[in-house]
Amino acid sequence: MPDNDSRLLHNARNGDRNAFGKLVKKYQQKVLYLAFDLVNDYDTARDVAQDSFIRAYTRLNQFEDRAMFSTWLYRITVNTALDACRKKKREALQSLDDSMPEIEKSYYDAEEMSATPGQIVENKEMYARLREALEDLTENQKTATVLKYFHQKTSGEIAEIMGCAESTVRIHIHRALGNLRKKIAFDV
Amino acid sequence: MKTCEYRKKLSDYIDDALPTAEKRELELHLAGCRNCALELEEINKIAALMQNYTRPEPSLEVLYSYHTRLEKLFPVHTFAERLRERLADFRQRLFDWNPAIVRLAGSAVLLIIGIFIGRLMFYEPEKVLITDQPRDLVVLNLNADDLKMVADYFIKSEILLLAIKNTPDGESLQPTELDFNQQLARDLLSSTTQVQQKAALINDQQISVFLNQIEFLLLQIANTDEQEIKNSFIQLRQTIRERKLIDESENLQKILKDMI
Repeated sequence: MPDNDSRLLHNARNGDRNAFGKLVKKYQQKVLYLAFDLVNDYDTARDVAQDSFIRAYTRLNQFEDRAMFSTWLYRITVNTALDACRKKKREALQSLDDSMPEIEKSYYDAEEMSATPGQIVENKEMYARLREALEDLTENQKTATVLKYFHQKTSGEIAEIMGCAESTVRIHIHRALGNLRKKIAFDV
Repeated sequence: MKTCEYRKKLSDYIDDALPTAEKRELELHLAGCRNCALELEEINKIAALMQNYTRPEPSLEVLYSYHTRLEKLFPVHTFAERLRERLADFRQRLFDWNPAIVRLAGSAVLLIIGIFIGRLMFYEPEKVLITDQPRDLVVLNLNADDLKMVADYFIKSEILLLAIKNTPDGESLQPTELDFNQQLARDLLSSTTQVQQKAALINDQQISVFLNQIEFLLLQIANTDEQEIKNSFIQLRQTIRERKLIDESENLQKILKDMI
């Protein structure tokens, strides 16, 4: 574990909320992005991220020093996000149409300057289909895929976060890619 | 069937995670199998799509509420901390300049403080007339209803703290009791911001600090699930005991009662 994290964690365990605050500052953006990648909506992602830090703080004494704090925090975030997804499905919240404008706006801003009009439309559609296809994956497949491709985690790191074997992670990713391939029909 | 066996290895092949011998075997197979080659091409496209994925950025509103909330729950670099750091820095620089003069100056300061304390101890202040008139609440920009709201908040939070404190360690909370506690915590949380705004007008540091501590506890209570009850509540009870929050709540209620 990075020395700084180790020292801050030690102080936080002794009741120093300031020390934990420094850890929060360090990881708050990554946690928010991870939450968003799993729940696909920033309002829910914000709540998930905040809850994750609160859970991490209340469970500091359960953290084992041999693991990385970031890995442990990611695990909490993944579990909290999946709980939120399940709750969302149960309550049958937002439809896909509600979430589309947010994605479309971003890609319009990001892609407009460098691509032709035809390419902009194509990219937007492709990413929208990717996002939709990700939502149809199983929880494990989605988690493994998001961690690998959106957060550049290795199979080993993903295995630690998900609490499973590395070979299991590879199977999840293999199946995820297969399912995504079926859902995203490539015309090019 | 040989083809199915090779398909399972395609994602590892993309990640360059296959041993050399297996990689060569797969490449030989791909040269002769159109289905696997096509599947590999499509998987490559999916992987490239995901690697190039740019997630949308959150709105300013989301970012602001997110950062503000976390800053409130887990503050960093409070004013007191900054002041302490600057004083420590200033002290070190003085000391580096001339240790002897600094020591002499320090002794002089201590002497002056000693004389001041001595005067306080042996000096009788003039008696101040205490009238029956209530404090001038207009000066505080608060009315009696506002103060009652803050006091009411303290009473309810004290009830919640007592409920948690009085459940013996080792005993699980009944689901109905947990529901009650969580509902009370959520009700209190919904009015926390308003109460904090009113309390800020009272300009009493003790009240503000206490409210922040209570808010943090309320979030923990509201977010506990049945599986975590025992551990979470043991920790909460410890926090309530160590920080003497119930005593603090009673003291502050007395202060507010005097103001009303």
